[in-house]
Amino acid sequence: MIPAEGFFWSWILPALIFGVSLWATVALYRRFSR
Amino acid sequence: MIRFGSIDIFWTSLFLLLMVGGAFWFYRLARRSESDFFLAGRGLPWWLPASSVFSTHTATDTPMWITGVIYKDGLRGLWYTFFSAWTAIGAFVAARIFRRSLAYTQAEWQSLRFSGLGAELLRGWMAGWQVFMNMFILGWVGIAMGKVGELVFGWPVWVGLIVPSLITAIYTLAAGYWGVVMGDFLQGIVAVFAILLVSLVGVVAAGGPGEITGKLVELGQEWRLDPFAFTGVSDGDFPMLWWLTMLVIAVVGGFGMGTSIDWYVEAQRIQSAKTVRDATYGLWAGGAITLIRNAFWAVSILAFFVMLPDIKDTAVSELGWFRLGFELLPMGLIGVFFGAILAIHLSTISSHLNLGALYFTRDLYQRYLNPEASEQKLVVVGRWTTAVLLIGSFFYGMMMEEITQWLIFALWLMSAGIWLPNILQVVWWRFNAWGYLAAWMANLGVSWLVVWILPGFNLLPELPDHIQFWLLMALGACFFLPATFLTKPEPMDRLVQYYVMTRPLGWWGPVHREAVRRGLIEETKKESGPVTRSMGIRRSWTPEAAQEWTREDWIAILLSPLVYTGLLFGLVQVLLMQMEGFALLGAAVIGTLIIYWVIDPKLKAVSEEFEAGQARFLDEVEARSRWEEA
Repeated sequence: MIPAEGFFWSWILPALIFGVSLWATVALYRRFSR
Repeated sequence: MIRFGSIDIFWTSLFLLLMVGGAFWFYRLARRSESDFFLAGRGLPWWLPASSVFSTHTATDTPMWITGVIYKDGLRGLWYTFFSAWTAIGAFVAARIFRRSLAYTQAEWQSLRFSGLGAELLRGWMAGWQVFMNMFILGWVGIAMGKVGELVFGWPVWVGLIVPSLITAIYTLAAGYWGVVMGDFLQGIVAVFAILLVSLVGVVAAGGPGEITGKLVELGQEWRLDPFAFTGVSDGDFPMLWWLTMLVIAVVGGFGMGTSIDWYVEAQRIQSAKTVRDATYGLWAGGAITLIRNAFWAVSILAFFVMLPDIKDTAVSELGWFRLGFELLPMGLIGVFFGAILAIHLSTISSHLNLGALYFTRDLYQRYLNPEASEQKLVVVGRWTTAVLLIGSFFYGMMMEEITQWLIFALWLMSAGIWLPNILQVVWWRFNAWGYLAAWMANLGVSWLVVWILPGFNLLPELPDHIQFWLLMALGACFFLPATFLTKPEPMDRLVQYYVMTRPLGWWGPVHREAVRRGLIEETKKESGPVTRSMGIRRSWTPEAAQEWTREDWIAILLSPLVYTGLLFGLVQVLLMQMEGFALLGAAVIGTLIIYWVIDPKLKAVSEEFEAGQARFLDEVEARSRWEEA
């Protein structure tokens, strides 16, 4: 193991990254399927 | 085995579902035609090819081999990653010429630049070779994923080889290249977040930038902070001659097509861009993001080194970056991290599946088996080929242990003896199909002798790679130069047609004069009207003048590799909080803005002019692909 040592990092940040990806998916689809 | 809780399974599944579902949804666009299934209808703005270049070139084995060289060599190991910097000049030269040729693939380009039997032999050979090459690469990255799955979850190797590839096949079969680029963009977002997070967590865990440099000095390892820690001019494991050879291969290679093994993949991204300008910016930005990625990796691997400096076995040390993520991230983010590892794997698999299918469908099936095939038929063939490639890659993956040495030899072959002819075919009008074919054939024989046979019989010492490169180049020239001069140039009709369409850089004088004589292009010397300049840089372009290669192009060509170097090493120094890094990174950013200011008006004029003629050129190319000679 490498000799080195909360809610935000386990839930909020992953949700933010997921939100950005989901928004990008919808935006891409709307832009190119016109 | 690592900690992987239910919250991690939740996030990994959610990201996987989004990446596959989001890409799959584009199947409605892909089924329209061959150009949709393989080039997204040549309609992409520059940032989509750019993210695809980055995502495709970040595979599961990439953080492993880069960790291996940085752990062993320190920051000078970053030069091993600098081969990807061919895009610095390639974006301004090869990309512009290739996008204008309207070729789907490098194999098709051969039959536009050359003509007759020689051109068809080249096209068939290159297409067949690329179909197998893509299958090889799929097996190679598949087995790397298999090993990661074994390390992390204790799965048998075949699980990581087969399951992610089957998941990728869902959207690659349905949505073709539309799915590939959209998937690459989403996977790129997740990968960038993961690379930033894990690298910064690694640096913080080691005590911060100051602690890392302090520890290295304490360990007597401060040479690891010097990118120019040469072991001598020609001896040791990091000689200056190797470095100079690498710079020539990488930087000058941007004038040619195929000088890097990546070219065949990037050619598809270049051709899928909306305009010549988008193709240039897409390739340039993709290369730049890749180098920025390497800077983050390098600093975090130095952090890993100061925490665990005594690993002797490369197979253990090259897992260093993965361990930073799995051992130091909190629950939840580990799931995102594994989602990102799957993301970089999916993006590489999908690109090579679609590219291999493109070579078969466009260059073998449509060209030689069924030139009259309908668009719908070509999409069906593309899908079937994707499935066959996938199954073939599983067989290659399972026997990869036995063939790795052969594969590395094959890759080396393609980059060494054929490097110079790959540039000559772009920049020299007299170089013909027979010269290029002779170069390939001679290369197969000569490299076999130099690399294996002669050293085996003690007739030649085992030479280091960088000496082999120059020797193979010289020996190859003994074959391809006579072959070129003993056969006729390509017919002038073909050369003029190619020249008017692509306006290549280099020694094309006789063809240019013939094109002027035929009235196909105007002689620019007689230009009338005022030309606005600012600081010696031309600000307004007529369409005809913009097609010539001028001072503005050369400023971009010369500045670009310097900017790349500054971005990579400036960012490394900034992340290590070394003050001179801020100056270097600042200079690189200013250099980027200067390139944009100098070249953008010209690229806009080139793109507008070319778009006006593109429909007519496309008809010519399509007619020719059905053997109706234009």
